Amino acid sequence: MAAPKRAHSASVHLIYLALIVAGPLLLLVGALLWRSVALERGQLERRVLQVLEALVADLDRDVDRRLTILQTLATSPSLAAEDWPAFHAQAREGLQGKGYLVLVDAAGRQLVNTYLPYGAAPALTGDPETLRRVRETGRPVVSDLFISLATRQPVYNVSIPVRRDGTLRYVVSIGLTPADLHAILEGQSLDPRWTLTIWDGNGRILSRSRDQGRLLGTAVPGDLRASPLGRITRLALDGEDNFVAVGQGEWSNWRAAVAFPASLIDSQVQESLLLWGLTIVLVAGLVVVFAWLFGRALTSPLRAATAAAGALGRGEPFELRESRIVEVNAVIAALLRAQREVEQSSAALRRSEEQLRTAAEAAEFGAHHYDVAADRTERSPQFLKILGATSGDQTATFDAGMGYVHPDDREATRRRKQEILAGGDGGRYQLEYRIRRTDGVVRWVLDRGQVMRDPSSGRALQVVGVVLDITDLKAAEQRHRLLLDELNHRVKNTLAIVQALAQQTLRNTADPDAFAAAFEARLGSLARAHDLLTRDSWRGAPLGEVVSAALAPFVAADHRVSIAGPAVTIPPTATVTLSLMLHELATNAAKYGALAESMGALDISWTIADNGATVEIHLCWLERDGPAVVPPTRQGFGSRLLATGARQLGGQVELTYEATGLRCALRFIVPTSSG
Amino acid sequence: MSLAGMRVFIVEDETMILIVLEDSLATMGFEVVASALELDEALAKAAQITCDVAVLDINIAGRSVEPVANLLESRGIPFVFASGYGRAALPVRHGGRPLLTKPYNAEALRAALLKVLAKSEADA
Repeated sequence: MAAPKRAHSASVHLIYLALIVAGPLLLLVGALLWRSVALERGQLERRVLQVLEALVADLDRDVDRRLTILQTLATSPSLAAEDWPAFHAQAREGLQGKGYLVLVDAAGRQLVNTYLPYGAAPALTGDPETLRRVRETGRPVVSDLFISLATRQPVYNVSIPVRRDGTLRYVVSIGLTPADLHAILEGQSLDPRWTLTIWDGNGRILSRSRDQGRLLGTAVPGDLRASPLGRITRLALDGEDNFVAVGQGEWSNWRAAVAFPASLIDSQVQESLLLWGLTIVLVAGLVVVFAWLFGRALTSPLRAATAAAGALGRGEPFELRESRIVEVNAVIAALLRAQREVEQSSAALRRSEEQLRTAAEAAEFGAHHYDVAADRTERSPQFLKILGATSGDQTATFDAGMGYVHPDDREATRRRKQEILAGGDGGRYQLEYRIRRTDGVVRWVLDRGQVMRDPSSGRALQVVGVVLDITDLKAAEQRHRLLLDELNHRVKNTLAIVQALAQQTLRNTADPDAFAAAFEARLGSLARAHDLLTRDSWRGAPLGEVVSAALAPFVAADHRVSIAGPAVTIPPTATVTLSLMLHELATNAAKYGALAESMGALDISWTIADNGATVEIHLCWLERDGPAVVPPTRQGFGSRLLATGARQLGGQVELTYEATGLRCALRFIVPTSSG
Repeated sequence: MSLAGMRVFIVEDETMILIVLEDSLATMGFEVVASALELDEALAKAAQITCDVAVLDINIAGRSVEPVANLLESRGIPFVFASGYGRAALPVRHGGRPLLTKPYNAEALRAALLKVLAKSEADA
């Protein structure tokens, strides 16, 4: 997979977008500004050239006018007649004070000078250069600046040759002062920023739109003088940069310069650059501000949606407002849908969990979950209840969990659990062990669970299980075992008694029929005693019923038998022994005593004395109206049973063979019955 | 060895069984010097009587005969146990003693008594 590009916020992307759009526009604005500056400059340059052209044209026209005057005068009859005074007067009139006329001959002698009265002219010309150039070219000449001999001032001449028969005879000149030129400069009607300069072939300033007085006759600056003709150059004049154009007239080797300060264009360039810069800054500022605002308008609902998605992931509640962005609204709608679905499914999950919890509480099983790598057990509330622990013990390590196991079971349980984790047997386990609750109570628990393993390595990852308090079950199991043991014991005890009865009966009876009858009778009394005991779950039997049951087989309708005494319960083993004892007494009575006769009487009565934990019973067996009493000569089985039985009952027996019948007094002790 | 004249002490809480036991032992030639039907009586007699061997029912009216066994052991008197319970009912300390499981016959009783008497004689 390619490395992801660096991510930026939407604001940054918007800034990029705006810059991409605005950049070319800004360049275009720059180009337009530049173009307008260039146009301005071109216009100015053209204007400079126009001004130059107009100036040069004016100069030429001025010379033309002078030349016309000169040519008119040259055709004057007074000149042809060489009537100099007349010519002087005519010239003076013709010029009307605009300059003065000088006429020199080919040798340079001044013939007429209207600046002065006729005849006062200097002898020779003050401008021999013009004479030389006229002679050389044969054409009109405009002179450089020179000091007039007549005026003693800097002047210049416009001169034409006058020929006679193809030979130069005279040169006629109009003498002019720079002031006349200055009028031409002023005639251009330019604002004071313009500087117009005219200089002669020697580079001396003839006229200047500014500082005329100071600069007249001084040398024009070299670089201005060297400037090419008819083109715009940029030169420093009077300490500032100027656009300069230099031109030359048709008639002279004079030059005229037009200068305009470059600062105007420069300031325009600067202003344009400033404007452009400000535009860029403004646009950039607006771009950033609006990109930020729009970015925020875009990202704040997105951030809200992101936060909502996070909250959804954590299962926390969240709120979302509609935004003004369709795509974000789609996300919000999807999130709200997901929230509803999560709520529905989590409600279903909660219901299911609640049902499970209710079931777990009803079943009283505690759940636990063990993360093997983290060595961390999580216990359910029910498990904590089983342990008697608080919610602070909801999580624990394996060893901390072992701390709850009863010390007697701890090592075995730890070993088993470690074996289970180590694996081998499918991972399902079932353990029973004791725990010691925090309150010190010891309980039995059943711990069943399942180990979940990494399918590839087989390593144990987690253990999930439930713990059930089986203390009651264990107790019931123990009771059951005890009951079985007890039953076994009783059966064996009873068999032992039966065996003893058989042996004793056999020992005292020679005749098989007699043995059978006696043995059956004794077994019968044993069985009836058992019946009595079984009726009350082997807890004991009422003395009256024990007596009645023992007598039942021997009492006939014509016997007078009375049984009287308070209610008292005889415990199980005592019941068996007492039944056998009463059976022997009854057997004896039936054979030799009161029950052997049809009208015999038997009174059985007892009293009780409650001693707290025990009850002492005095039972009296009294036979009357039977056959004559013959005391036995030797102690038989019956009397032995009575004596031993009385000992077993913790009492004594006393047999008295009275004339009226047998009297047996039995005193014994039974525990006070709880029921 | 002869059992004739050997003095025996019986602890048995069941009258009929005691009677038969007395008769059986008498038949075998023992002299039954004492018998007890309950624990306190048994303890009192065990401390005083002179006898060669004893037969102890383990469960005496719900109480263990172990104190009597301990007393007899300390006096060097051999004894056998009798019980309707299994071997598990034997006091741990006396786990190695012979046990007669009720109901038992006279032959088993004789064999057990002979065994402990022989062992006692060998130890002596």
